Amino acid sequence: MKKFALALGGMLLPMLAMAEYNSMQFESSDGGNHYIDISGLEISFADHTLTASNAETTLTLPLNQVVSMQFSNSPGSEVKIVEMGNTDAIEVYSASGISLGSYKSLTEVRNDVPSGIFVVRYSDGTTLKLLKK
Amino acid sequence: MNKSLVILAVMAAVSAGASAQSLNVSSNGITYSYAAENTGLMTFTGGETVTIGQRVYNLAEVAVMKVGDEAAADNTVTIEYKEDAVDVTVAGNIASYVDITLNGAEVSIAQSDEVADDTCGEITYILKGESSHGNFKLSGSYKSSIELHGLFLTSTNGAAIDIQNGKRTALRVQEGTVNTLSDAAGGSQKAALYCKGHLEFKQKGSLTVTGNTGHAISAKEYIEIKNTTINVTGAVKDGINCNQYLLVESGNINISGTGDDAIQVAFKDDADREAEDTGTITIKGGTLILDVTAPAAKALKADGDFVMTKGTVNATVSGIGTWDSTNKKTKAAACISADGNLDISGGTFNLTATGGGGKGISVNGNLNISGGEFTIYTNGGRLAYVNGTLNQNYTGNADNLNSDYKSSPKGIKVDGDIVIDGGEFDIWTKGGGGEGMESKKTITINDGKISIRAYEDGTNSSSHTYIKGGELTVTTGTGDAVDANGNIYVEGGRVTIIGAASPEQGFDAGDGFAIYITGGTILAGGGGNSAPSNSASTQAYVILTQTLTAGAAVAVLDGETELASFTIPAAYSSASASAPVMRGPGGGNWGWGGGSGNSLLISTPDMVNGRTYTVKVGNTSTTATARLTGGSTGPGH
Repeated sequence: MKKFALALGGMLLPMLAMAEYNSMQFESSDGGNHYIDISGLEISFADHTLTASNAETTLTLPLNQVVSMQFSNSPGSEVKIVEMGNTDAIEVYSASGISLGSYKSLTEVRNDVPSGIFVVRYSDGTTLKLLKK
Repeated sequence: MNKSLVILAVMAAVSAGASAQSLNVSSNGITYSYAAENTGLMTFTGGETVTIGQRVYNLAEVAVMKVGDEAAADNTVTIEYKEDAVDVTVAGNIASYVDITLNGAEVSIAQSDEVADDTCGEITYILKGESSHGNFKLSGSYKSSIELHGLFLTSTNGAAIDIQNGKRTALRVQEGTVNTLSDAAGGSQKAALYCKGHLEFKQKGSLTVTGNTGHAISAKEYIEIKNTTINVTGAVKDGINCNQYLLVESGNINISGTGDDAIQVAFKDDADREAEDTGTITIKGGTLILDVTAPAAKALKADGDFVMTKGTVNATVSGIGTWDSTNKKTKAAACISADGNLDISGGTFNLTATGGGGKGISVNGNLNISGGEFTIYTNGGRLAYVNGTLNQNYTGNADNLNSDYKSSPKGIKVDGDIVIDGGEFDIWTKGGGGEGMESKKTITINDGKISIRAYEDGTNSSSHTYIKGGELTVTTGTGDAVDANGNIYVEGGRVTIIGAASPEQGFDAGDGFAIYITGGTILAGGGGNSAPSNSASTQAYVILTQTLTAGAAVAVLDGETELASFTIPAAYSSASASAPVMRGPGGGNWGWGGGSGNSLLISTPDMVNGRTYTVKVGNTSTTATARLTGGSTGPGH
């Protein structure tokens, strides 16, 4: 069991280290935080203006008011370590956001879903991206 | 499957499938690619700059930042040549350690002196693509790697690759890729591919280099080659030139079209040089095919030692001999030339020298060969500078010429001692003056199989010659089979040697010296033979006059018992044989010339002094009585 725990830790740590972000956070000099989805995000600088845009949104900020930017997950979407034997009800979604139903465990998910990438959402809001090969 | 294993399997899939988000900053035509998780807090200052990691970007120079799905691998700089331009991608973690300047397809990178094990570690530069007027220049003070992933680079301004970094550069030529480098003509660069430090070729790709100003490939320090195929198609100077040493562990090296040597290794000739600065060429494997046409040039030239344990060297040098008016000496081409010693324990050698005075192997120090297969052929004539004229095939009497003014073709020429402990040799020196094997000191044959067909002497030592084992077969056109200026000691082995007609000999000991036979199975023919002269020679022999023909079977019988048999070598020409002359103690002629046929000396370990034996040559039988010294079997005695 100890070996199993170590192996699990070995897999989870790099997974967390490579945790995916969903937004770019800009902090402005007035203390405000601005988020924009990073899918297809491009940021340019011209005419004293920072322009961040993706397929759906464009965010513009005066350059002299931008303090910092960083990759982030917008509030409420942090990833956490999945506890062993977690039996909370979990929702599974396809990569395109279609709900595939509720499951009691990851084992159940693995046995049921086809190959592909899925998002698992726990009742407390924790999400986990799964790849079944 | 239990629950634990299922969860592990799912987690493993998650981990393996995770994609790396990235932030790609395009600035001044260069893309700096950061893994998203490594960007941290990116701070802006005064609306003018943004700092990512340790690099400060001037926002006016940033064209765009894009979020992507894949970041450049850490510690890499990737340069893709696109004829007039380049795409350059720098891994974010080293963005502050490289300063890149672009000028069209000319790329110059200054690697920070802060690069070290405890900062970012070694940086790998990945080069690919094509440009007919591009190049790559790298400076720095810490080791680096360059990977070639299909690069076709012709420089019109200096070297194609110029590594101004005095440390180790690993040049990894990726397996399955073909790469070509060519530099500008008439420049000041040392080579098309130059490295100021030491250069290590690795991996199984192919690299073709042409040097249009100097060498094709050059390193200020050593070069090591493992697995790579290197083709040099032309160079104004050497194909590969380096200092310290060259080590070939494996791979293929093909060199032709050079204006000087195919490969030359030098060393710093002063007292404070490093231990590895030896000027040594070491070959532990691989195949070298070297075709050299330049006058007096060498295929493999070591200012130090030449060492080989395994591999193949096929070398042809066809350059004519030259006259060095500064040092006032002749210079001739050679397939392998070592200013130090030569030590070969294995490998296959096919060596051909066709110019005046050309040599298969030329060594200033000592030669020791314990293994390997050697096929050595020379057909150039004697090089001689006479009365202000350089002759490539001098046929006059060269005996009185200063040694610096002449250079005879030789299969193997050694200034020091020759020791043969093994190996198979097929040496043919066809051209005028050609000798099979020459030492300015001693020749010792302990083992091996040596076959020599020489225009002049088969073997020639300035001091003693020792034959202790192995198999020695010699035929000559106009010289002695075994010529020594000292004594000749035959202690073992099998010896079948035929010298030319008188005054040439089979065995020819030096004036005032003698031959000592204490073992071995011997047939020595020629215009004469040195004969043992004192009791230190303990093995009996018979000596007689006999006409020999190529391919003839020779047997010595004790009654009906055959003690030994020989076959006259097919290369033997009876036209060379005429009056035999026995040379007695002191080397003076015994004065029995005038007859026809060869002097024939035969000795075996079973011969008994005073016993009469039958010598059968073809269908002709002759009897002779064995003796321990002297010889009186020929006419005139």
